[in-house]
Amino acid sequence: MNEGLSPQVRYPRGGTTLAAGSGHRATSIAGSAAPVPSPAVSYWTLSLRRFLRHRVAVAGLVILVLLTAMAVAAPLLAPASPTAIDATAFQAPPSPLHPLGTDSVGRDVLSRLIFAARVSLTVGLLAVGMYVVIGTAVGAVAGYYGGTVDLALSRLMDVVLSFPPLVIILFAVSVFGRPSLWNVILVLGLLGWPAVARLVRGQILTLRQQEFALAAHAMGASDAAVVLRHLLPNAMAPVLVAATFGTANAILVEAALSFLGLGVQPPTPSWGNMLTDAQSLTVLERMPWLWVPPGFMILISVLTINFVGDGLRDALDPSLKL
Amino acid sequence: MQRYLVRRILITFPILLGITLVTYLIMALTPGDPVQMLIDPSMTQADVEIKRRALGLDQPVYVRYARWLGEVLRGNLGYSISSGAPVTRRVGERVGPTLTLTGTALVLSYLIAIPTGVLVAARRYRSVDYAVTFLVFMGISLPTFFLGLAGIYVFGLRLRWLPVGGMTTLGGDGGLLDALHHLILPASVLAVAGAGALTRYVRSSMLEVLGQDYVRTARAKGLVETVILRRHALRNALIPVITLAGLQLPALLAGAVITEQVFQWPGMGRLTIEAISQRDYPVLMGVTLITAVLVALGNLLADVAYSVVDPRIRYE
Amino acid sequence: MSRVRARVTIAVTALLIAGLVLPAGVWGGPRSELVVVSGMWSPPNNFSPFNTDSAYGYYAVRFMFLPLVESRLEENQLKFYPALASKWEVGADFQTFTFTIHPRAAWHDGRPVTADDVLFTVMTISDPRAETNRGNAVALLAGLDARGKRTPGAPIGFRILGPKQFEVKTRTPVDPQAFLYEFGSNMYIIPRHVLGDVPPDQLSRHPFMQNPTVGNGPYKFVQYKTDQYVELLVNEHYHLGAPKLRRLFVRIIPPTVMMAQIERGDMDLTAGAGIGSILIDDWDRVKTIPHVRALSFPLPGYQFVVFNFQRPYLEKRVRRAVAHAINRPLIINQLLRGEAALAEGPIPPTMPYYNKDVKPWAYDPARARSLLQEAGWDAGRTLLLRVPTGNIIRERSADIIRENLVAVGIRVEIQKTDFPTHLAAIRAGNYDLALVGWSGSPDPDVSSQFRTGAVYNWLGAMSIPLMDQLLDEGKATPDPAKRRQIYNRFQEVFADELPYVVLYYENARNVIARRMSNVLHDVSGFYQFQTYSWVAAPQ
Repeated sequence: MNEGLSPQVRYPRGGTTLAAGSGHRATSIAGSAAPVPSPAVSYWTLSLRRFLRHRVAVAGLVILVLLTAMAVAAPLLAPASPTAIDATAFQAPPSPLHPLGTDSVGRDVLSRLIFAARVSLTVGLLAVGMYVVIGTAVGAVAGYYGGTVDLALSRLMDVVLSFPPLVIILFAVSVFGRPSLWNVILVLGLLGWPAVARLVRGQILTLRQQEFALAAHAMGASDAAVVLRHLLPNAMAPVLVAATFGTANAILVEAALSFLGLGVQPPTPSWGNMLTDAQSLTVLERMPWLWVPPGFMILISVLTINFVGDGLRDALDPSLKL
Repeated sequence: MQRYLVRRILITFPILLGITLVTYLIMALTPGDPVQMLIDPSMTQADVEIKRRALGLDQPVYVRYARWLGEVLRGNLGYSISSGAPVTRRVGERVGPTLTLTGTALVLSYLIAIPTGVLVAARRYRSVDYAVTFLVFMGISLPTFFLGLAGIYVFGLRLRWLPVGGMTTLGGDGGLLDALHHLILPASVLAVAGAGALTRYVRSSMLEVLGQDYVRTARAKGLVETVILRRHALRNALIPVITLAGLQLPALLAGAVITEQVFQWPGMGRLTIEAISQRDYPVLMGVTLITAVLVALGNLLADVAYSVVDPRIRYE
Repeated sequence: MSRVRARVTIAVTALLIAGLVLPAGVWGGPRSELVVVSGMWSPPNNFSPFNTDSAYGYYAVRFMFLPLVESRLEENQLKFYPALASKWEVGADFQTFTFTIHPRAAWHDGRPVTADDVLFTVMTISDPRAETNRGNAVALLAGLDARGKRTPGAPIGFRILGPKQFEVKTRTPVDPQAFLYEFGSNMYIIPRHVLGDVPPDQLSRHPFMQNPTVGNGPYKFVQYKTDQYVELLVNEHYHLGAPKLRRLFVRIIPPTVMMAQIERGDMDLTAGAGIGSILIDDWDRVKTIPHVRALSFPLPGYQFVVFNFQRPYLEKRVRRAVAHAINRPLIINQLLRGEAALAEGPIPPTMPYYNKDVKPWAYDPARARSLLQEAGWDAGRTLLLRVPTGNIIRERSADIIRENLVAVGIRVEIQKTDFPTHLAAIRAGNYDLALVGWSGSPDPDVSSQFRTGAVYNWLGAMSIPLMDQLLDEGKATPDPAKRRQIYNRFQEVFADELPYVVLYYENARNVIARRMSNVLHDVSGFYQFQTYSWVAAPQ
């Protein structure tokens, strides 16, 4: 079962000792900036090698890079301006002139789809990145220290979860004045973290009592080291799931936010606001070009992010030995 | 544990006070008020001023909040601005329908997600896993309103198996069967959306647990794989699932805005949206207060559940 | 554990199979009585005949409560028909109006509707303590202050001549059509014997407003299932003849699902005019459904771009340039599929006072550019265009407007917000251009919007002396022929000054089941004219 490193590799069965860190990822995932000891080079090399053998993850990464490139190079790739109106073709089906048809005000769907990647990918990745970082930090501190710290931080999460989000968003609109992409990211980031924090806290609560953590502590590791190097890596599984779903959600929610005056405003396209065109039976049944392309792009982005996430987790997991 | 619980419950009160105060302030500072937005050509300037006075909007915010709080302490949540009906009634009449819809959907989604999650974890990186993954992500890549519309189109219009919209047949008391018939479509749409995420959580924490020593030990003992999955792994994989359930308790009553909207379901989500779009402050405060209580309760229950699932977890 | 799971699985499967396989008919009882279902988009919040919060509320109210007269547009003329009043006379002084209530007009509890009930309604609406949104209905009466409210103890221009007859007097001579429209057809009469003892400031919270069991219309209130439907039952003692329908439902349903219900035959008619009609995307589709008729007709409501008059750079030439720059024919022909009309002013083209000699400014980007140049337009300036959500055609039109303005050299930034925020921002003066719509009225007196300092003048905050003068004259002139001259002139001035650029007068897009007949719409476009005469074949 343990042969080689095909993507089929699963949980190794070999008996392991209960020494600190064994059977657990001893290093945080990329970006957590844990000080990496001297054999780091080989560790990262190994991780990279493991990742590269995870074919689906690599494919996902390639597609994600391509999507990002498409967003950056949108003006070069798009056949038309995303806001130009073709006065002769409203809701027109695909044709040589408009390969993916036109939308409800006669704009080229393909061009909008390409430009929309900018907004949707930025919002999806940055907003989620922001709340995952905040949520993980708060959740880890609350779960690890427990007691009064936990009580205070957990109640803070309760407070944030209790505010009616729509009211907060409407209030934010009035505070920010002018809408911009960064406001959306900020609002999503500031409203989204408590859920992640609770997930991390729940994981840490149980992990900190486990032998490897107690052992690490007994061996004199600092709190930060225990949390960053021993606990967090093992608590990241649900966070990765939350992040991939959060990305899809952020891409869709962005459209809803622009309806409330936050976020990118018309005529700037985003995959989310392109989908809001699909609000009638006629469009659903007879104008698939209005909803299939943006829906497909969101699906592809989220799937690839998910696969890359899976691949990263497996690659960084030292329990999967070479 | 008992002391912890008492402390947790006591600390809830100042927090509720804080939440209501901040929400009230934010609402007052949010542009638009319930009278300002009335632009009805049949109204005179005097009508507008009378309404403003009758609703107390001519008073400063702190006076309004103090009055509201005073009434709440006496058990009165006030009157809805848009309808004139007591807030307790406006909110109360939504509880039943909301719980029916979200409760059914939640149960359905757990019924779908836990077995599926365990299955795909055991078959990681096989075609079943990829197929489920693909379906799950397809479900979340389209907005709920679209999924609802698609459900209506397929089951309501093309196949004509299910009614579209509403909780019962018009005027009729069709009994339980009629109600169930109307419930199937909205509850399924909601359950499918929820089950997707849940499946992934179960899968990922199962994978995590399956890599742990005690599972290996169990395997080494030669236990059958299904027994390992069920006895040893699943129980320990439940921590994030419990957290989610705790997080979902308020959502249970908060309702599902879009699904309720699409299927004409008289739930709490629609009430909240209506209250916001009409700036119906008393209703909104009522909903916020209930949400805050439920958030506190849900997370308290989750914390208690943690220590049941994993007795090593202790709170001082 | 496995057994429990097996049982759950079986139960769920059985449920699903039952739900999917049994035909819908098995679930609900057969319809043995004549039932009609009307659909609207949002719920009524209450059923107060003088204070319900929205057009949705009044739609439901009007099946249960009647005004004195009903109005309908016939060949560009406003015609009045008996409702609670069987007769009315206009005095030679254009000031005295005598109404006779139908001898058999009665409340749903059997008590007669009397002149006293009308007086009670007037006293309630003009009471400075009562919340209402019908103030305009009584604002013209003598004895009330200019804002339509009475001073306690002061006499008002209302005289009871008999149990079923009364006379009202206006403060000054008025156009009888304007008075009959406001007082006669916009005020729903409420029962004194039920509400007479309620303090005026308590009326809006009185349980009657949630449960209006004593009405005077052709249908009686049965129940309101929150957010789902209002159920009404025939009033067999209705004074103009018992309705043929037994039961009537006003269903609350979002536009997308409304379409599915129409196709399934679950719904017989749309409420109409902005509260329940067919989405433009579904308009061609609905015409292919065999069991309904798709009907479109002009409405008095219009959408427009309003200019912020506090911005000196939005001067007359710039406003004219905007009118030339916006491709209104494109909006009407493509976005609205031709189901709209254009007029350069706030008087609807179908209404008696419309001046057809005032032609809309043509779509002419070149002319727009030269006007901007004349005005010395600063090409670096960006205009803030505010767009409210909630009306999908209006939201789409904003994208076209922006593109059109950019094409002539005006930079535009759109900000889309929910409606309350939109209005608050406009009131605060925080906009250059904004999209708004008015429902329009058959009377040409639009001073509440355009007269300096009037109640809705904050929308644009324009102050145009010539317009003020014409509006005041029009209001004070009772003679229809002289009024026509004044408002003809007003429309010319409007097209010249352009406080609004009107975008379109959208047609109603409705459906009525083919099994129904005698369904007529009133002057505002609602299917609510003489609803007692509706006929429907059994389903």
